[in-house]
Amino acid sequence: MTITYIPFGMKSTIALTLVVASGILMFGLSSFQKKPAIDLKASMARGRETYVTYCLSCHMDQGEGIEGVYPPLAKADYLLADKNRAIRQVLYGTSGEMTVNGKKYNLEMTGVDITDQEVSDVMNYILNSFGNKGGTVTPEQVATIRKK
Amino acid sequence: MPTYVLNINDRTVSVDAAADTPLLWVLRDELELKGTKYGCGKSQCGACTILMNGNAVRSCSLPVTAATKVKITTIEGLSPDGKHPLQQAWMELDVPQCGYCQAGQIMSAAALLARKPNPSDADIDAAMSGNICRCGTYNRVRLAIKRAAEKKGGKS
Repeated sequence: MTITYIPFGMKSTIALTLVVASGILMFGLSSFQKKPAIDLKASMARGRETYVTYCLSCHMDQGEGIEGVYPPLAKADYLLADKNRAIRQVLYGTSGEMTVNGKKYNLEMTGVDITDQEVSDVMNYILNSFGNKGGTVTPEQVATIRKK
Repeated sequence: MPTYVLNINDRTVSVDAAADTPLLWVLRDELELKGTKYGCGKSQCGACTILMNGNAVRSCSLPVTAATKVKITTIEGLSPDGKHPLQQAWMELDVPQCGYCQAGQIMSAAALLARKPNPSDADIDAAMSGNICRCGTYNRVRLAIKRAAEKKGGKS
């Protein structure tokens, strides 16, 4: 029988390694269990495609809009104040006067005929681009608004 | 009236216009570029579509002030000799009926092909959804975009 001598310092290193490893494992498991509802990066990449197709011709490449004509999306108080209203406007369009960042706008926007997934992707792109930090939208949220 | 310096179809031009003049009127009335058409005047129909830095935008709602320091392309500037693959495909397939919306259709299609050299039916339908044709040439528009994509060999 061989008695393996482990010096005290190494013992504590092994113990620490075990603690850290189990911590990582626990964290890994919990993050696996609490899987994020959406992959924001992938959603935003798909959303950019939808944005270029349907939104860019008015709201412009960087969401800057045209002052007095097309309202901006970049750091837009009106957009960031009510995410559900924005989802409804993507789905069904909007008309009438609105004030965005202190400027008045009054041009009709048509809704677009796209899926819940596409709406959530384009919303995630808009809410997290152009300097915006507006949170996220899931396809399920879009579906609830679509039904109302 | 203030003077604006614009880059249109690779030419630098100076125009005198009120700040809120839509680019469409500068193109048609000042520069005699009448290929771009007036339809609804509120960005809903796509007849006035032009390219701004390669993106399809509606010139009827774009104030001239927003058109400086950017590259504007109209239907007249799409190709020097009218032989852009889209223009050739349009002729081969007799796409237009009355023709009024067609310059706008072609400009939207040009922006699409630059972005997606081989667009799917869904890509085409989505990209062209802002261009309305009351003659209903949509099926031929779609065919011609595919024909143009083939001509370009899938290269942007």
